[in-house]
This record gives sequence, structure tokens and C-alpha cells, in this order.
Amino acid sequence: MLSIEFFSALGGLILTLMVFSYLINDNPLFRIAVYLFIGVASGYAATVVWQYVLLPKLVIVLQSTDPNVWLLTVIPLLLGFTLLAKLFPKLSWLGNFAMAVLVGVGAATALGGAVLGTLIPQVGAAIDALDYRSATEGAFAKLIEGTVMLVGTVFTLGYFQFTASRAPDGTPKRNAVFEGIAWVGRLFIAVTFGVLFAGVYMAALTAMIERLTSMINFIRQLVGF
Amino acid sequence: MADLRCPTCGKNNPDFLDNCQFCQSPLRSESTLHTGESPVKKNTGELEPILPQWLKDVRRQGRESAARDAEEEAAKPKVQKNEPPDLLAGLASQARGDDEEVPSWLASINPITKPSPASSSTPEPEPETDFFAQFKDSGMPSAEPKTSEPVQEEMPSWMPEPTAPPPAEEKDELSEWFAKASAEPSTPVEMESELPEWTSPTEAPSYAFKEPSPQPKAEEDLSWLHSLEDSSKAEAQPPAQQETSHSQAELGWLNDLGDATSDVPPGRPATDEPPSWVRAMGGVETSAPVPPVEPKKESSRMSPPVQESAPAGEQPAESNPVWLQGSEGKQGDETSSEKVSPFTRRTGPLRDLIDDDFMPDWLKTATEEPSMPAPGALSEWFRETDLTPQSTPQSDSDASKGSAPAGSEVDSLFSVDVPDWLASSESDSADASLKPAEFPASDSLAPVDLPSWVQAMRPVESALDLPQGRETEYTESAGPLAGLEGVIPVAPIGSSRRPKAVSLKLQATDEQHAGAALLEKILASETTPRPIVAQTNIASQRALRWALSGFFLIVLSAMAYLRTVSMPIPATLPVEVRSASSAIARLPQNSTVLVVIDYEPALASELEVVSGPMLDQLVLTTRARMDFVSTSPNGTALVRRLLTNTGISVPAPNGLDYKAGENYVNLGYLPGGYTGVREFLDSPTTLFPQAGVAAFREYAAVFVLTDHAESGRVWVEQLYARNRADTTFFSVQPVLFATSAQAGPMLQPYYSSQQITGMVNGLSDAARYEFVNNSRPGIARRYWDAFGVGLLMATAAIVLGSLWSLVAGLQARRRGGVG
Repeated sequence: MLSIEFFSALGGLILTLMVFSYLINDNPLFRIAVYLFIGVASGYAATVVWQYVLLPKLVIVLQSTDPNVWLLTVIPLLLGFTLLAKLFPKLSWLGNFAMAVLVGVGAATALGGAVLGTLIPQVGAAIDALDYRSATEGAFAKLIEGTVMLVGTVFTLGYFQFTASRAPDGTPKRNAVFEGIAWVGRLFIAVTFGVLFAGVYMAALTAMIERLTSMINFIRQLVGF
Repeated sequence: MADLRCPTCGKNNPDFLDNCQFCQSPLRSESTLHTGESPVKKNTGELEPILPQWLKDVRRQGRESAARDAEEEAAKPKVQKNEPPDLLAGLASQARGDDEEVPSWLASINPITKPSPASSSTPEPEPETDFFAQFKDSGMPSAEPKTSEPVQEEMPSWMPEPTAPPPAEEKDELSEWFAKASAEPSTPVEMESELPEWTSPTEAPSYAFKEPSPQPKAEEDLSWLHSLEDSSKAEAQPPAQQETSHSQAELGWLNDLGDATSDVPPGRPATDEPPSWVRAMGGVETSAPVPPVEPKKESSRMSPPVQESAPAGEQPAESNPVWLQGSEGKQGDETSSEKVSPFTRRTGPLRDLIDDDFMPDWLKTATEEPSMPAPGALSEWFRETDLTPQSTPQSDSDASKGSAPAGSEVDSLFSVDVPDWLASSESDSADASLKPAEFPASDSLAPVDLPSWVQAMRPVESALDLPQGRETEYTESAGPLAGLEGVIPVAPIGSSRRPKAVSLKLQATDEQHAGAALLEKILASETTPRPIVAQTNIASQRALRWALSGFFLIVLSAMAYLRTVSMPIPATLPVEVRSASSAIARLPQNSTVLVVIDYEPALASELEVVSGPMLDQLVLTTRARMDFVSTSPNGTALVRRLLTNTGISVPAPNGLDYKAGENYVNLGYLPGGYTGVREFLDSPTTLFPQAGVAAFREYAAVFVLTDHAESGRVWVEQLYARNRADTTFFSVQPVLFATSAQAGPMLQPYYSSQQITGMVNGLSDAARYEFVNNSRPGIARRYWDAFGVGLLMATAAIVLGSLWSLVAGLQARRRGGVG
């Protein structure tokens, strides 16, 4: 009965109660729990990095007798060491090149992926949303869905159109048509944020239910019924 | 005679004139002599035919006197000739030397150098001839008693008229002198009876010409006398004494004059040895030595050198004749120190440049003078001057009778040959003696070349008549302002003339002051700490928070404790869930799939619930080999928990009995974000050698478990971009997403664009998927009732809170309306 699972469950119960104590107020128990989680997560991450990155991609490769592999390993190693120079302000310039490589390559990869994987496909999808003829079933529903999507997109963009003329009293005032579009767009934005909030709430509620269920099950096992 | 047309007024002028006689404009540009230029020798012989009659007469007389003088010179013994009086010894030598430099034509017309008494138009008494014989004996032809009256009568107007003092002033001084002479106990009657005819008062006008030039102070007169003494001493002292004795013998007629004027200075040195006629005047030194000097200077140089007059101050004043002292004592002191010739600037350089070969003085003067009067006018001028001495009493002229011969002789010399510039130079020399620092002898201060008519317009009189009190004001001595006084204020640099003080006080209106005060107040308020307003509703909010938290905990705990399965699950699957289920169902058996763990431990429970039904179906239907890769460092630890909680790794019969390394492989952590994913897509075995595939396309499907839309989009974008580059890369294989409820809406568009094959989003989709999948693994169903109650409670709390806020707003508005 006093297995590792028991202590794990017991620890989980205690830490969960410590975190729930935040509902009362900010207290040391909550902070201990937070510090513990951060420490354990960081330690575990460091272990993972050593286990899955440094050891297989640096230590083992440097032990290789193949000069090509060794050379291809030394260059990233030197660039990696130059990044450590960023810790020292006087020597931080040494890491500029490695940082430039990282940022440049990362930006190029992200930009290419965003254009080819998000922008172009999403534009095509927005166009196809109104192509009810391509719909095998529920063409009307697809038309309505496409219309709502189009209206929501256009009106949401219209909400962020802030060009306005000046009223006689000096206050900026947009055109009435744009005011209506912005109002509808604001509704879409509100619904979107509501959906996102609901998703966050459902995710947190699911985690909370899982924690409560786990705690009750542990207590139930501990009590014996 | 050719005429020159004036370029200014257009009138004709004689060609020998440089300046127009009507408008005084320069007729020739080269007529003026500039500073630093050398005078050009001109042949003036052709101008003799055009000379006026009076000038011709003068020249004729000069020739005759020169011829007679030559005869006398030949008749005289050399001993006597070489024994001039001590006082005039130097003059004789200089005169001889100067004669060599004087042109013949100039010598012939110069009555000073070649006096000719016979040419005088008026009868001259014999004593006059005797008197001037001493000058002949002394070898100074210039001292020959020439005819002064004829010369004076024919005196042209170009003679030093501008510098001539007013006749009335001269007359007064002479009258004073005459008064002194008459006051002597001597016998003026005898003197009157013995005076020659030329000593009559009619000769007095000659002073009008004499006075301008010798009128400088006594020091000036003594200067040239002193120089003459030096020169005579240097030449031959004994002959001078013999000449003196000879002169005394010849001028015996003047010895009687000594009784009339016995003002012999007590301190006079015996070596001076004045002429006999001077001693006859009572030891009074006349200006007789003056004439020989001036012609000599005139003949040798156009103007006397300044050096000759500079040491004048060293000469004692007693050396001056009484009649000169009387006049100089008054007039010389008054005028010599104040008279500043305006022509000094102009004539100064010429003194050094002009030589005897240059244009004769009379011609130069004639050409320089702006207005040359006609000969008729000259006669009138002389008549006017002649009338002036006639008005003096006869008794007062007793003394002048004795000095008149010498004075008239000197005047005749000056009247003929001494031009105005010479007179002014003498006055300049006297002035230079007073102000040696301001007026040096050099011509460095004469850079200005002004027309003569401009110089004539200078306010010389005003400068001369300055009162003593205005001596502090500076008189300009050089440049166009020469002669003007007080034009440039004399003030030291950095004097008390400071600029007027300007107030630095800001001229601002009250409104501007108010605005500035407001701005200062605003700026001050920025740094002033403001007290935090205490919120009275914090306690109520905290109680509400505690109440809601407790209510939720209690309800959900009760639901979990009760394990109720009362809430129904919708039977219809969403489209994306159905697509995911269909895609899994189409996967080949024993295929290798990639499972990406891309979520954090905090949401591990949700992702386990969401992905449980999908993985359970995968394992049950295809028994696929799963390669787990994590893009989060903590993801590697979640693989085992996932497989455990979903029952996949749980041994049978409770689980699917998947074993690590055999049925699934935890590849580990994939670093690098975008680049790591791209690298893994290109070569999974390079990063993870234990991967079950040689290439990424060998994966039958990709399952992405993510709780973050951004990390999930990386996989979508990189896969789609790779597929666009290579359509055969991963276009057939399904891409399935199990997302958290918070990330599902953000990834929904990718499903709409068919970039994602299927997606399970949150507990609701998982419960449905689980319901369709025969309620396996059953996790979603256990949470479903509590999840449902929690949603209802949240919805109720939101509605109640909205209503509370609405009511509170209405109440606040009502209170505001009432108030």
C-alpha cells in the first residue's frame, strides 16, 4: 500500500491543496507549491536537454573519429559557446553572429511557413466558403456559413478602420456606414473572445475536475471505501 | 594755342592748365602727381610765348639784373666775394650751388637769384642799391636790391594769396611795431629824412607778401638763420667777417637808423654781426637775411626742407629783428601755432620729388591754382594793398622806414618766387616743430590726391580761428578731413560709451502668466504623490470569490465523489471529429504513426481525455506503432502518463498492453521550434536515430496533441509548406489534431482549409468520440457530469453576475437621476 504511487498521489493531494489555498489569499503554501513546480520543471527540462540534445548531438558526436562529423559538430559548438558570451556585456558581441544565424534562419523558416502554410491556404478557404456548389450536402448551410464567415471577417476588419472625419464639435466621427460595420464587427470580436474564454474555462474546468476526481479517488482509497 | 575742352562743363581752357578754370575739374588725368610717382620732366620752353605781359616783364628784368650782376661779380675781387657776412656766408655758397641746378630760363626769370634793380619800374634811391650791394658782395644775387615795387605791382594773383593774412591784421601789427619804434627816444625825424624813398609807407604793402611766409613763430625764423650760420661757419668764417665789415662800410646810410630804433637785445651774441644798416637801426636784426635764404630754397627746391625749420626752437628769440618780433610776437604766436596749411598733404610729397628741372613754380602754381585772375585784377589787388599802409600815420612809419628796404626786398623775393605752397610749407614747418609726432617730415601721411579747388574749400579759417578751449578736440591732419576738427570723436577704446541697458524682464501678458502658472501646476502635480482611494468593495468581492470558489469546489467534488453518469452525451459527432475517426479507420494495419506531444503538464489531464478515444481507436483498429516526439522539454515525461491514463500501456486485460520500444517509441525532445520541426520533416532519423521510419513520408499519420494554437500551427504550416514543395511528401497521410478547448477555436480554420484532416477539440468532442468508440477509454464519460455541472454553474454565475451588474447599474443611474 505504501508504494510509489501512494506517495505520488499523496504529494499530488498536498500540492493541489496548497495551490487551492490561493483562493483564500496569497500565502506561503501557494508560493511553496509554485516554487516547487518551477524547480522540478526546470530540473526536469535540464535533464531532458542533456539527455536528448547535448549528449546525443554533442558528446557522442565529438567522440567520433570521422573528421567530417567532428568538423560539422565543432562549428555549431563554437557558435553555441559564443552565445554564452551574451552573459557578459563586454563580450556579448561575440554572440552576435550566432544570434544572427538563429534569428535569420528562424525568421525565414517561420515566414515561409506562415505565407505558404497559413496566409495562402486561409485566403483560399475564405473564398471557397461561399462556393456552395462544391458542397456535397448542406449547400444552403454552407452558404450561410460562408456568408457569416465573410461578414464576420469583413466587419471585423472594418472595426479596425479608424479613419474618421472631424465633427463640428471637434470630435472624430466615422461615417455612419462604417459605424454600422464596426458595430457588427465588434459583435464578432466579442463572440470570438467569448468562445476563447469558454475554451479556456472548459480546459481549466476539465483540469479541475481531473484534480478533484484524483483527490477523491485517493481519499477514497485511503479511507477504504 | 590749342584749347582743352573740359569733360565736365564743356568749356574751353588753355592747354597748359590741368584743371578747368571754370569748374576746376581735372582736364587731364595725368595732371596730378600721385604719391610715389616720379615727376616727369616737361619742356616748358614753348610756353614762353603765351606768358602774360607782366610775366614777360619780370623775366626781362630778371635777365637784365642777372647781366648786371654778372658784371658786378666780375668787377669784385674774389676776396670780397668770398667774404660774405657771417650771417649770410652760408647763403652765398648755397646760392652758388643752387644756381647750377636752376635751369637757365628759370634763373632768368627769378628775380631772387638774379635780382636786377635796374629793371624796376619805379625809381629807386641810391642807398637802396648800396644796401643790396652787400648781398652782391656776399655772393648772393638773390639778395640784390631788386625792384620790389615793380615786382609787387606785377605780382600775379597766383602768388601766395591764400596764405596771405588779411591786410588789416598786418597793418595792425606793423602799427604796433611802428608805435614801439616811435616810442624810442631816438630821432625819428632824422630817420625820416634819411630814409630812402622806397622806405616810404607805400612800400609797406610788401609786408603783405612777406608776412604770410615768415609769419611763423620766432623759432621758425631762427631755425633757418641757425642753419645759415652753420653753413656759413662750415664754409669760411674769416671771409664772412670781412664781408660784414664791407657791408658796414656800404650800408653806412643805414647806420643813422640805429638811433631811431635802439632796441638792441642785451644778450645778443657779438658773432652775429648784423649788417651795418641793421646796426644803424639800433642793433635791430632785420629780416634781411631772410630773403637770401628763401630764394635759395626756391631755386634749389620747390619747397624748403622741413629739416631746416625743425630746429628753429633752438634759436633764441633775440635774434629776430625788432620789427619782426613785434609782428611775430603777436601774430606769429597767434597764427603759427594754429595755422595748418591745408596744402601740406598735397605739397609734402612734391617737395621731395620735384627738382629744378621740373615745371617752374610760377607755371606750376598757375596751373594748380583754380582761378588765375587776369593781369588787370592783379593790379587792382596791388592797389588795394598799397592803400593799406598809406592809412598808417606818418609818425608810425618812422621805424618802418628803416626796415622797409630790407623788408621790401625780402617781400619782393617772396612775392615773386615764393608760391603759396612754400608759404604753407613754412607754416607747416613751424607746425611740425610744435607737433613733430603728428606731422613727420616724411611724406607717408600724404596718400591723398585732391583737386586744388577741393583743397581750397577746406575750412582752414575755421581751423585757424579755433579758440583755446577747443584744443582738446583733435584736428584732422591727414586725408580728406585734413583741417577739420572734431569730425571723428576722440574717445578712448572701451570708454564709458556703453550701449544702453536693455531690460531683460520678460514682457508677458497676464494671460501668458496665467498659462505659465497652470503649466507649472500641472508639472508639479505629476510628481506629487496621490493617495490611493480605498475601495470599500474589496471585502465583498473577496467574499464573493470565496463563496463562488467554495460552491464550485463543493459541487464538483460531490459530482466526482458520487461518480454520477446522469448527463447524456450527444450521439452526433462534429464534422472534424468524424473526419478524424474516419481517417484513423482508414489507416493501414501495423503502420507507424507520429504522435507529437506538444502540451504542458498543467493541461495534461485534458489532453489525455481528448486524445484518449482517438489513440484508443488507433490502437484497437490498426495496432499502429507510435513514435512519440515532444516539442516541449516536459513532454517526454507525459508520454508514459498518457499511455497509462488512456490504458494503452496498461497490461491486458485492463489495457491494450502497449510496450515501450516495441509498440511505441518515445523519441524525446525536439528542440528548435520551427527549424526543429522542419529539420525533423526533412530527416527524422538524423535527429532521432531510433525513429521507426527512414523518412517522414513513411509515417502513416501524424497525431498532434497540443494545448497551444501557435505550437500546433507550426506543424500545420511546415507540413503544408513541405507538401507544396513536394506534393508527394505528405499529401495523402492524415494530420489529426487533439487540442485543448482553449486552442481548438484557433486551429479550426486549418480544418476548414483542409490542412488538418480531423480534429478533436476539448472534453465535449472527446465525450462524443468516446461514446461513438464504445465508451473507450471512458475517461471523458467520468468527467462529463461534473463538466456539465461546472459549465452550468459557470453559465449561471455569468448570468447572475450580468444581472447583478445590470441591476447595480440601474440603481446607480436611478440614484444619479434622483440626485
